[in-house]
Amino acid sequence: MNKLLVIAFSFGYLALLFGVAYAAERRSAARKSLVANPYVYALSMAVYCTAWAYYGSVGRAAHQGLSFVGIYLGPGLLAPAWWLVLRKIIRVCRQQRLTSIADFISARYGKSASLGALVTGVCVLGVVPYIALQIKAIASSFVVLTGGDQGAGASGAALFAAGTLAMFTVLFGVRSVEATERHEGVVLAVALESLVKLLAFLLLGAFVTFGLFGGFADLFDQAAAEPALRQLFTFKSAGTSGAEWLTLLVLSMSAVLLLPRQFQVAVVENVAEDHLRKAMWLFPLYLLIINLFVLPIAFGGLLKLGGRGLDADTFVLALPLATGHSWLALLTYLGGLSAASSMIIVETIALSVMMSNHLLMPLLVRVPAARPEGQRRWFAYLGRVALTSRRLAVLLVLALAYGYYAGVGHQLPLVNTGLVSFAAVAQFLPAVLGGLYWKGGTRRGATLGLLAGFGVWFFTLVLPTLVGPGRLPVSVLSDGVGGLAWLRPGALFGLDGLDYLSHGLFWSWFFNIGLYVGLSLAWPPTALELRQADVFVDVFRRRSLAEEITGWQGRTPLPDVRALLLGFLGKKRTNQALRAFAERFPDALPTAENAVYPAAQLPVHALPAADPRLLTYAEKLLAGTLGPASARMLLASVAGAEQISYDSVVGILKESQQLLEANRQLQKQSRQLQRLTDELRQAYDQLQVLDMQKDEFLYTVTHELRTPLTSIRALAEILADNPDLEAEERERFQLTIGREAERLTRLISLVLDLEKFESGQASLDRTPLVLAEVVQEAAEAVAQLARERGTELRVEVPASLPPLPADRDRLMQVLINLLSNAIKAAVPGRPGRIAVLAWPAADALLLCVEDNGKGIVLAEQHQIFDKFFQAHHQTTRKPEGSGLGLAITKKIVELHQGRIWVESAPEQGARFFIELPLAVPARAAAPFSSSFQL
Amino acid sequence: MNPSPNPTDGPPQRGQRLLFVAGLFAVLLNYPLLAAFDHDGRVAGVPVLYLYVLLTWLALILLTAWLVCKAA
Repeated sequence: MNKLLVIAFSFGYLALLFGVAYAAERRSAARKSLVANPYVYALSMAVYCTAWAYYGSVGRAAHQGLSFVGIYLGPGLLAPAWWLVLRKIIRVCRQQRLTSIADFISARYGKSASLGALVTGVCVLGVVPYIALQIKAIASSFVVLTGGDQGAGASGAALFAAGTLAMFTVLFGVRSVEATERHEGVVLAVALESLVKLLAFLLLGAFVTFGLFGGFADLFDQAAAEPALRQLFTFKSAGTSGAEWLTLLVLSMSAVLLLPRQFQVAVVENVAEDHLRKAMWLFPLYLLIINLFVLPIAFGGLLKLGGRGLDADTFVLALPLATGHSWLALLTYLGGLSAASSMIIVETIALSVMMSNHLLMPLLVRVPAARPEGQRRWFAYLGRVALTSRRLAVLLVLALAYGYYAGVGHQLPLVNTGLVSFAAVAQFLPAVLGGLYWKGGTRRGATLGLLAGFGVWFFTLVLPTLVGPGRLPVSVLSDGVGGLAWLRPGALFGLDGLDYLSHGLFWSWFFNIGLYVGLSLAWPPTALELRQADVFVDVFRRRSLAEEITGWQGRTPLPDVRALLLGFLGKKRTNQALRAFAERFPDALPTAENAVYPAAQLPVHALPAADPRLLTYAEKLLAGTLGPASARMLLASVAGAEQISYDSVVGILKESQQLLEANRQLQKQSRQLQRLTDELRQAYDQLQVLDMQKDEFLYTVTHELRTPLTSIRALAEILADNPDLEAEERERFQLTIGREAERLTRLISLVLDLEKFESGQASLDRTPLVLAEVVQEAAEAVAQLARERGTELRVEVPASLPPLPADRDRLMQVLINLLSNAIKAAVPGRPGRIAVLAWPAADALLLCVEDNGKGIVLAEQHQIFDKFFQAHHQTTRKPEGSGLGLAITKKIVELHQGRIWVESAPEQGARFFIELPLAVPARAAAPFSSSFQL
Repeated sequence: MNPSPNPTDGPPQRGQRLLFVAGLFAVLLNYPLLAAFDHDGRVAGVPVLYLYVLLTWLALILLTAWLVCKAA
């Protein structure tokens, strides 16, 4: 294609990025953020897919089949666990104002400056080649597209690309001295680039699959016809071992968590933890989609361009070019450019902050301790230095990357450099995960583990790439360093048979994890390490008491702290931060009038002292600017040494553990109390109901008693007032009085009976009875009444029934009661028929009293056993009994552990059933409420 | 200095369920299970291994999405 056209499009595209970033910054300043949503967050994470993914995946697929997908499947497998791991990292970083992986590790292990520097060094050494790779991708794709020669054209393109991206990064990526500030412009630009590369790659994939071939089936059919391609269909024939596959997964898992650029977009640029929820599946989905067409493109390239000796890494561009679709090739090129540029931008930002905060600042903040009088000016100066040094670091990183590309990068294939970078970053994994979940990890263990891991990484994975003419001799690989066979980079200590990546990862992690855990266990942590461990590990559970209490204890004048903050943050931001602090801890800052005294007019001891909490707060503010280690040193220069005694930290941690435990106990007890309260309330409600029923009962009883009393009294008065009453009349009255008195007596004895049952005083005198005899006797007792009413009484109780253990008198009472009820229920004008039946059931006897009387409506069937049920209905029916008969009957049956129930329909008679157990069960303990049942 | 302590974000089970899913699929997508699909048969033209990895991956994503959105 025309070179000028490609250049114009490249610059046009980069100009578009500038425009988008600028617009996002404007919107952010106007508080109408474009990036505060989970979709932009997930898309910005896709900075994971670099030019390596874009070009190199196809290259790797063309050589090794499916194994490339491990690099994208790993993050997918880890994503569900983000909810535990990444969210915890985000929370810790927000609380501690940490802005990079170096900050994180340094802060966790006692805010160690040396550890921070070590992590930064590993990152720079591990990642700069990776950036160089992106520059190489831009340059070589430019060359493929324009058809120029690989030499001058490529270098020129690489230089231009590096220069433009450096400008972009300095403009939008290093804006404020506060590294915690989010870069909305960069994030939006990166999200947009993720969309561009996805669309471009999908278009190309669709073109290859459906344009050049007739769909997936056709493409794979053609590939299957070639034995060399058919080999790539399985891991076995493509030469990917299970160990290599596992290594790819593990490496990419740690990379997606720990690569500086991933840490930047996922943690530092995170707007809200909740965005993680959507990103957890959107980001893997993105990875899946962008990888859909990698294999088809690789096979398409091998099938169409196989014979031309082209590098498979360039298939993405060469395929559309070879088929004459130069515009599609241009679009694909822009997709690759976006993949490369977004990676370069974000990675450079992250590295520049790390370099400035961990390599330069710790040196600079040490200076003023010697000369206290010049401190304030030095601090103000330092703030500017920090910002400038970061900009310079951006240029330095890109210059290093370009230098690497120009020096050694030409020969490297895309994918290997990337994986070696991954393996470097994977060295952080033990320290990071251990730091998040294990309180025992110490600075010594982390430092030496990391050093050892990094050393082994260099020996096993980097050394082989340095072999070549003019550099290391090949004998290093075959015979080992210095001719020692156990020092072969590909088979360290004679470990043979693994692929180079698994081999390198195994040995580096072996030493890394071994030293980290071993040394951490060998020496106890210092007080500061202990405190930081508590802050990190328990970040979700509680606020660390230890952090707030065992901080800066010395008496530090408040103006000094203020001056420190002013120097780094500027007036506006300092005031803002102090206001926020005063809102949180209103008691920690002196009142305004105290603060206005010019510091110079007061002797030092009269100056208001800064609250320890303010010092901790200031340290964190500065940590967001300078990194935790420098911030600590800086504060120490003002406040004197941080006074943390081991015993006090341990004491406080123990105390807070105990508090936590006590809290748990309290919660448990309060839950128990709640349950008891509920039970009591239920019992109370039940009592209330019973009380009401008792009242009602008393009322009904007295009412029932009054009726016969009234008639007795009235008749007695008539007799008294009329001495001349006729003898016949008088006799009739006297008879009535007698009958009423009898009724009264009966009623009272029934009430007493019932009370006896209900209070549980009644006892049974059980003897084995022949039911037939008892029934016969009861029938005879009511025979007179039955005859009077013209009712036929039939008894069909077989004498062969087993003997029933029961109280004879009580049972008789029950039977007479039921029989007389049945007789009374007869419908006037219809001959009544009553039958008494009995038959054996499982381990009980069933007795049935059947009549053909007026019956009971369904709604009343369960009420008839209530006391005075009949009495309640005096208005609707003429009472024919006390209303207590069935209630007592039921009590008696229940006392025998039996059951009584009724089946009936209006005008169709009723059947009363009684079930009495044959064996006498052991008397069950009465539950709390049963004695109240009526 | 700290945001208000909020120990229970979301249902307490969510983290454990997600962790289980991650572990389960890590086993599904590794040897020795992977070897069962590592042969050169093809389904609808597509090699079995490719299809297995792709579909399992998709299932993982859908399951994660479901678990994560469920409580929302």
